[in-house]
Amino acid sequence: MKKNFLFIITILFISHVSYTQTKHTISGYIKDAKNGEALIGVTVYKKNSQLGTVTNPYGFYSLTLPQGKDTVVFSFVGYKTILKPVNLNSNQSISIELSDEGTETQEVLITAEKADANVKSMEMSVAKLDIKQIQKMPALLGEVDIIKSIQLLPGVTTVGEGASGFNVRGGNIDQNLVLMDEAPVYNSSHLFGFFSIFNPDAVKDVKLIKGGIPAQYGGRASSVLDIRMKEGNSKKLEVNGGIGTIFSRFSVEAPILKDKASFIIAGRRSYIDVLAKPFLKGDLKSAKFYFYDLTSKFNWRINDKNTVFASGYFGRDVFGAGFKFNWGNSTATVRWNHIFNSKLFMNLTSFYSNYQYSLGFKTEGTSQAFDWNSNIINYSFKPDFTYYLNAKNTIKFGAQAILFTFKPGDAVVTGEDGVKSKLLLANQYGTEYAAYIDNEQKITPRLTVQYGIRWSLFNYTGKGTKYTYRDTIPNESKPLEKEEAIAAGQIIKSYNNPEPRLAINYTINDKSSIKFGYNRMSQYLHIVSNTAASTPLDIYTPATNNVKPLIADQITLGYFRNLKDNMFETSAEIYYKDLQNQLDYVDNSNLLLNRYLEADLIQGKGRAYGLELYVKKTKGKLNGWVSYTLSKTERKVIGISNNDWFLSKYDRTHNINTVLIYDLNKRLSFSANFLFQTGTPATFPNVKIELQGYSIPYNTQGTRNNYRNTPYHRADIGVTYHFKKNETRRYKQTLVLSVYNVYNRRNAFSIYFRENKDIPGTTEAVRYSVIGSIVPAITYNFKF
Amino acid sequence: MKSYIQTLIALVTIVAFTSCEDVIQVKLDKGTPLITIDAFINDMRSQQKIRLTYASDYFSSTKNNPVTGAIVKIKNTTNGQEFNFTDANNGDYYLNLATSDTLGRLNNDYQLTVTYDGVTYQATSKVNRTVTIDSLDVRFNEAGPFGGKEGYVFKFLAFDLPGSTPDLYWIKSFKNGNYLTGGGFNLAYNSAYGDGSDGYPFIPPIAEAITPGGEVFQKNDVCRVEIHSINLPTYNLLLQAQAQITNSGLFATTPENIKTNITSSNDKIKVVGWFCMSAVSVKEKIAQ
Repeated sequence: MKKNFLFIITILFISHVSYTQTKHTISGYIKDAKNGEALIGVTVYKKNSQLGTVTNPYGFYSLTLPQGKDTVVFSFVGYKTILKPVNLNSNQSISIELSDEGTETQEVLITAEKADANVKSMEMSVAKLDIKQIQKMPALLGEVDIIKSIQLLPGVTTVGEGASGFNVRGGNIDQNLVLMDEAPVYNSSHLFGFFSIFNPDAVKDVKLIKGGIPAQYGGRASSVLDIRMKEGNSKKLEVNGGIGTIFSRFSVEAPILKDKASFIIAGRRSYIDVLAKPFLKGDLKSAKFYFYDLTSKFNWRINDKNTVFASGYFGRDVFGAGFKFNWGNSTATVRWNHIFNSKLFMNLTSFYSNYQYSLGFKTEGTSQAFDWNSNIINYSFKPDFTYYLNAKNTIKFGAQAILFTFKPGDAVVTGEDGVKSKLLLANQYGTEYAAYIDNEQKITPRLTVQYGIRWSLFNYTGKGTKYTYRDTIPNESKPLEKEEAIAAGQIIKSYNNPEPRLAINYTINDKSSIKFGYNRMSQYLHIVSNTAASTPLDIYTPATNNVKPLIADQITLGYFRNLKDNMFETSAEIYYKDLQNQLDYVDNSNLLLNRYLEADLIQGKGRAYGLELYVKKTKGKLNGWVSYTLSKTERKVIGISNNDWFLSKYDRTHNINTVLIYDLNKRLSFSANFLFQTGTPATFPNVKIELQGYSIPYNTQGTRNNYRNTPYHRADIGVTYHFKKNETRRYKQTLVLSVYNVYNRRNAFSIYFRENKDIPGTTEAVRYSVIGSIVPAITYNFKF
Repeated sequence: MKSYIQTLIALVTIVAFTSCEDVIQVKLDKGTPLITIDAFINDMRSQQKIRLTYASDYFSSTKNNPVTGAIVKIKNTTNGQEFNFTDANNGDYYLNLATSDTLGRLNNDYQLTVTYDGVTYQATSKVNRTVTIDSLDVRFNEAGPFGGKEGYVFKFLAFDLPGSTPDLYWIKSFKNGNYLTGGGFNLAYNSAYGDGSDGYPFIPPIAEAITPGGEVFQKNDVCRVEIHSINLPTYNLLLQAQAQITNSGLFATTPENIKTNITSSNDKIKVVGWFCMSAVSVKEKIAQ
């Protein structure tokens, strides 16, 4: 199978060497004339032909065309199309600035792409969200939120409000590769899962890939969320800000050297603590609860061939009241774009990513204290090349090395006498290497195939301890056989996996296409969490001699059709995903500060399949989408639920999402969301047993997720009002009113069972709703 | 640890949101009959009790039916002495210890045997060492919106016993002789919750939990603290039971059936329950 695959690749590469006609290449960057931001996904094509390309995430394109006089079209929805006559007698560098149409229509557009891009592009199972649209959707407490918006797309679920992360097509939350300017982010949430860490003022482009994942991405099993930050206005000073219910936001962007170098700095801070301060007394006088983030980016276009970017993110959640509890991500990325020649583009990325949390408490007036720190640190180096071989083949290849340091826990106990003792869990180290090659080939005008392979290698290395466990009965903690000290750099366990990737697009006509995708993904780290929602305290474990890497295979088949001159985009997709080595936990597992954690981990199989239907209206005063997902996600783990398949905790059979935006006029726009989702599975007892005076729920069948919580449904509405603009000034103001959970539904996050406090011996079922009322909010935004 | 996170959640949700809990109707399956044996025995001279009940349907409004007519005994397998428990015909089986006898001898092994309806249920446990409580501290707490009620709050001071094998404790507290169940099981693994805390004073969340959240003592109330030595399986069981008793909120764990350390002589007849022998140290103090 593997050999055949390589053979096919070789044949396909060779098949296009036979061209004899003289050709030349045009290449360059495409930017927004207003602020100098690189435009992603601009279509560049030879007029009246099928020969074309789109700009990459850095705004670069390269197109090879036959010699002669011709016209090249640069087209991007919401921007004025440019037709540029060219005389192709040599390779040429053509950089273009597109100016927006300046009409009100551009405001209502959902995606800034070529109108029929969804039918024509290779991508399937991909959702792009325009930040302008996200800003109009009603949001919890009025806070524009990228992760929450993604949860309204087909195939994406969450276990409930307040839960961090998201689940894509039956994948756990750790199976999403969340990239912020190419650096991975481990916890995308503020305040557990109520808000996401991405500052909407600094985000340029959001893309979620659920299937047919190209070979350039790897390391996570289920999806890629590729978030690109703004580069910063390179034309003039721009200030954005807002005062919301939770956050205040402020961002500044400006040129350093006009059209050559610019920066953006954006910050947010919550201020509930400031408002609550006067009401707190006693122990809570010193209570802290706030979160903030700072995003910054700098870019410098050194010359036509070289551009460098430096970006950084730093965010933290800080809580405390007699104790302290805080967590956050920091990332730093440096990138260098280099154009070797008009056909070969390189982006070299090196990043540092650190997710850290700490927990501690201290007894007032004494030296007694407990402090616990944990983190996961990555250093990575990643060259990526794109070789625009000709108008029919675009080859991408590259490599990546990531050095992981896992610090599962480093706790310091300070005694009454001030003596400190360390509860140290040894660091764990790993190195992941990957190399990939992939070609997007137009085989016929109707048939395009993207095929590639990624090969990944993971070494779990010292310095550390190698634990060997004996087998035991399933669902019991494994007994330790031996511990061995391993020297720094020595390999404890090594895994490698070839990961084939394939995507096929067959265009039936201008309006419709059929797409097929297959991908294998391997993941060498797992989040360790057995709670309903993941907590910020959850640690990550690498693949070790006891924990195998996660392997996912997914096939996807879809039909895409546009109606009424691309006013409606529709799609129907089916998928099947097979997962190996998903993590589960023995009963009564101890996941925190446990040296012998691996003894409590068990691994099992998973499968997920479903149908996703999607209709999006892209033009007109009324736009938005409706999606429906029918799906099933199951797991099978020896030792759990009588060794049978059981539903995973994020399985939702039916999932309907509706997002509507109505632009009444220049000043007013309305928006509404409606969601209906089958309740999440839950394990309910059938009897109560009596132990030490307590009534304890017990299930005599021993099955997991044997019931479901009540269905989740909710509606939200929002109104955006644009203040009248003073034509002589650049100052723009908007006021956003939103109401979350309009009809006051108390959705069950969970149903749990307890003894009635007043009548001992009697028991009751309790529905826990994270949001139990209507939540109105108001946000004021300004820009100049 | 979990309680800290829950406090935190409560704090945040009070300020920012309106999370709520409602008692609702849920239809559950019927269970199959299951005998429960509750046998936590200690070295105190007070009356020792073992309780045998049937599991009942989860929403049944009556108390669990008692198992009567069983033969219940504990044998010290180190010295061969046997102790027979008396059936009180309400599910309770009592032992009134003769003044010349000692039930819980340090480091001795004990075997529980329950015979009922032709089936023998057995379990074993050893008496581990416990710590001496150095003192109880009391202070007066002012009322506040989140700071609890006005009244006296206690904490204890004790040092975990140093040693290479972990010491495990179950700390119980009483107000004027009434067991305070509000805080659930206050457990310690050495002086904290895990390895590396050997030989240190008990950490504040454990030492302060003898006054459970929402509870205060009034002037002249008597606070009594007992530290029961347990073993690692019992520590794990109580943690597991705790998680099942209050399994609410965002960070609820997957519900599990609690483990059992009692075996049944008949594979077809299931039993759930626990046997643990403890040594106990006690300290009392009056609130003032």
